[in-house]
Amino acid sequence: MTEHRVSLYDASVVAHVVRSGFVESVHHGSVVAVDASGSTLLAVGDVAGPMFPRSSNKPIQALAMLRAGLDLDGELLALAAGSHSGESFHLEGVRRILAGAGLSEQDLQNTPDLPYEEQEREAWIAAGREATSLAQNCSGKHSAMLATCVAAGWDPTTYLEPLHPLQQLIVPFCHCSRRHRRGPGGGGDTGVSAVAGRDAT
Amino acid sequence: MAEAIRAYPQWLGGTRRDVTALIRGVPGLIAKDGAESVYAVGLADGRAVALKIADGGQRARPVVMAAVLRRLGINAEVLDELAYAPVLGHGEQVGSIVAVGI
Repeated sequence: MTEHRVSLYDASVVAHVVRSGFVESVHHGSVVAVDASGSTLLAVGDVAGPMFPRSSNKPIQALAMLRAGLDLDGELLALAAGSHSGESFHLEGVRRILAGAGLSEQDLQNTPDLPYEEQEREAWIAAGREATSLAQNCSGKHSAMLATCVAAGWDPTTYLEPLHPLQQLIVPFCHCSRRHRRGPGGGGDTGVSAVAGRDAT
Repeated sequence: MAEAIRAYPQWLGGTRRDVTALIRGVPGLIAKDGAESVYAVGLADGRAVALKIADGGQRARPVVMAAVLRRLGINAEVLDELAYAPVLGHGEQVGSIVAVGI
């Protein structure tokens, strides 16, 4: 596979880790701030190069699902756009989204994992529980994707296939809404293609 | 979408998550964190911030975002909390993670 050399080679130092007055480590990064018209207010590092937005994309993906007929609002819509900690109310919310579509956690296809947040993860392990799709931080989004399939009349068993109508809807929507040109795609743990956009500003 | 995030930030992140604290602490702000240390923020007036920590580690992410938001003129107590990232030695604070060049 071709390696796309990303902008991180030109990232600036954005943080010092200071121990006893000595800079022990540094973190490089890229930062851009824009105004409502898209004009750049602040840029640090190479902000024109492509990057994977990873889960920062989830609210945009959820917006695409709403346009396709997903019927969620309030807390469950926030959960659909989230990367939850794995707290009990999150898991209950995911079950509610699935039940509303006549589905259950057995229909989730996100990779099983322990809860994302440290305290929740430790409690989960201490209780002798195993990694599950429900506990994994993306289950809000995946349950919403399944509910979208049901609302739109699409097959919920193949929703992760690149040619599935759900994926066909979400990918161009992300490009369009961000006014980005197409960059390299890559599979992310979140179960939809991780899109690398090239900032147009 | 934005209304749901503002009204229910604990559902997007969680009780002890920095992204949830940021949304709660700055009126009108929406935010989403992500793997490999990405961070997207939208402000009520239409301004927006995107951040990527190059090594993918999460520890500097909220610190740098707090610095960017201050630079943009946002004043909120939560930015002090998010910018406070102590470095410990034998359990005592002996330093901190600080944003630079913002």
